Formats: sequence, structure tokens, C-alpha cells
Amino acid sequence: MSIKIINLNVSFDDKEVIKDLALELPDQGVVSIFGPSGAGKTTLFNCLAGLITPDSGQIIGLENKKLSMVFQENRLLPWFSALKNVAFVINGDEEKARRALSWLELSDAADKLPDELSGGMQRRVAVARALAYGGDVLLLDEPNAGLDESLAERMMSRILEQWSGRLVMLITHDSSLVEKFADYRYDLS
Amino acid sequence: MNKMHNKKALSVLKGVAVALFWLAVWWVLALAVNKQLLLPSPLEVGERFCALIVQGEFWVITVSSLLRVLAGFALGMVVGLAMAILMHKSKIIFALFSPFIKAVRATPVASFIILALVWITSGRLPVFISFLMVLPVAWANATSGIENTDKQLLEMAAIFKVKTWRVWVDIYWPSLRPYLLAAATTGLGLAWKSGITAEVIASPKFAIGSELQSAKVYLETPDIFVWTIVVVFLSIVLEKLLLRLLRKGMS
Repeated sequence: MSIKIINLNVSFDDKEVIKDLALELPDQGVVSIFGPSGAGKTTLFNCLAGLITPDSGQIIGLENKKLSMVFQENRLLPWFSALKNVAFVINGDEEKARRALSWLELSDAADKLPDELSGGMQRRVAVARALAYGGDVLLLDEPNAGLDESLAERMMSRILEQWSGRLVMLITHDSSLVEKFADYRYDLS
Repeated sequence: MNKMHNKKALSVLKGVAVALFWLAVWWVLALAVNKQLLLPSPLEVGERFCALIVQGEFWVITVSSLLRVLAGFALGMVVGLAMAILMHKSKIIFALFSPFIKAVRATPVASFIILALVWITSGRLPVFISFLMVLPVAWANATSGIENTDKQLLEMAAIFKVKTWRVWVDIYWPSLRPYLLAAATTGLGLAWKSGITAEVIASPKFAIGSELQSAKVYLETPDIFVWTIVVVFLSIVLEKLLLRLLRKGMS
């Protein structure tokens, strides 16, 4: 069953962020969500993840789906190594976590704390964590932040290899990534 | 390396100089007063101290008081933390217990001691009083620690459906640690002072507070000084030792 967003409305302090949004998402492929800052892209992701309750409207079809996410911020535990950060979401399975880090060329950084990693490496650890967790839907909120163009493209290719046959939703300001990887595009502005 | 040694030696020398200065002030004052009953000289107190520490009873008294205070302190820290967790998890528990904690905070320690004397044996009273004084401090700090835990990390754990016990151990606990260490620093001093005060009033067997009380009754001023110095010394040593242990255990 595909995911349907029906007349979604979200406002913060009387400011409408999402107004009457209606959208039907495919079961697989890459859906790129774009629009200017403040258009409600991250808010839409937070609604899908259940972190925000919309003022009105419905999201149907997510009930039996497992959702994984790369947040706008890295949200890594500062006291855990890269490996333990990934293992944290998969019941401490360090073998699987190590595999996920290697997909993103982070094998050498496994034992380092987030503070000892560059911004781009921290970002990839956050992506590795989401991939290791797995699921039916992957929400990527600016996954390429802090990465140069070639690394961002390589990372997207790896993500899609691991997530094939399932749905990926992507927020990015990088039009070349959208051009290259998005199957569907939705303009929130 | 040499520079560091010099710095340390200089700091020790400074400490000794300050101690000698105040010892001299005490001596001059004792000479001026010239009454052992009112102000014994450092030499008289030193003599009494040497006479006491060779007696086995001195050590039994000191260790008994220490154990009572430590038991009250540990109990206060554990129950304070447990209450903070429970009150964070349930609004009903919060509504029920927050007036109790506010009341404990506001009530003077002497009122509790006198009241508790009716219910508890004199030997257990210092443990109970130390516990009661540490409880609100541990609770307040643990509550602050829980409330200041990074919400974004908690949201992340919720999205990835991380088990509750893991969230507590791996997110809340590391965030709580500095708050609990601060509570331990304040709580230990409170436990020690209130525990000895309870001993003075309840006069249990083998207790520093009871020795202070009997020294007061029999006008043995040098003994009051000796036991007070023991209390201050133990308080400082205990704080340093326990905090070092806690820091090591929590890291």
C-alpha cells in the first residue's frame, strides 16, 4: 500500500508552515522534496516520522512500514565511537554496524569519537546508522551536507544500492544530486 | 617536569605557611585568654589528640560515625535518583511526591531530628537524617540532568525504536553524570554535618556527636576541639576520596 498524505496542515505560533498538502508517494524509488528555506520540507519529514502532530490532515499507509531517517543534524552520541553510534540503533550488533560503516568508506573511523571526525565524516556516520537500521522508507534530510560533490554522489549511489526496491525521500539543495538520482520531484513552494 | 614539581612544592609550602599562621594566631589567643576551659592551646589539644588516637575506642567511634553518614548519603543519592526518574516518567507520581520533597527541603534539620527520635532508635537516626538531607539535593540535580538531556538525541532514539533501558543507560546516564557528581559534592557535606548534628542530639553509642555532647557536659574543651578537628579532617578527606572514586566509577 502506498503512502498518502491528505490535506496536511501544520503551523507553528500561528505561522502556517504546511498548508493543505496532498501527496501520494510511490512504494519505491527516490522522491526529491524541494523548495525554499521555510517551505516545510523538514516539517513534512518530522510529520512522517511522527515527531510532529499535524494540526489537521492525515498520513495513510505508514502504519505497517518501518521508517529510517537521516536528520538535518547528525544527532550522534558524543560519548560513543562511530561504531557504537551505529550499533546503538541495532541492539548493539557491532558486526552489522561495521559493515554499514564500510559501505560509506568509514572503516578506519570506526573507533573514533564524533568530535574526532570531520563534519563530512560525521554526516556519513549518521547515514550509516540509518542504513544499518533498515526499513521500508528512508528519509534523507540534506544527507550531503559537508560533503564535496563527488563524495556526495558516491554516497548516494551506495545508499541506493543498499536501499534498492524501497522508498527514499530526499531533501537537498544540490540540484545535481536531484538530477542524477531523483525519480520523482515534488516542489513544496 | 621540573617546573611542575616546583609548582607543586610551592603550593605545599604555601599551604603549610597558611596553616602555621593560623596555628600561631590560635596559640596567641589561647595565651591571651589563659583558660583551658574557654580556649585550650594547640599543644593541649595536640596532647589530648595523641592520647585519644592510641585508644581502640577512638577508631571504633570514628568508623561508626563514618559508616552511618556514608549509609545515609548513599541511600539519599540512590532514592533521590530513583524518585527523579519515577517523577519524570509519571505525572501522578510527580504530583504526589513533589510537595513531600519541598517540605523536606524547607524543614529545619533540628525539627526532623527531634521528630524522628520518637520513631527511630538513636543508632539509626543519623543515617535517617543524613539520608533526608541528601535526598532533595540528589533529586533536584537528577531532575535537572534528566530535563537537560538533549531532546534531539531522545527523538533519534525514538525514531530508531531503541529500547527504553538502552535510552536510560546510553543517553540519560551520560547526561546525568555531571549533575550527580555536583549532587554528591554538596550532598556529602550536608550528610556529614547533619549526621553529626543528629548524633549530638540522639547520643547513640560509639559516635563522634555523642563524644562532642559528653565533652560539652563535662567541660572537656580540648576534647571538643579534637573531635571537631576529626570531623573537619574526615569531611575534607572523604569528599576528595569519594569524589575521585565516583568520577572513576562513572567514567
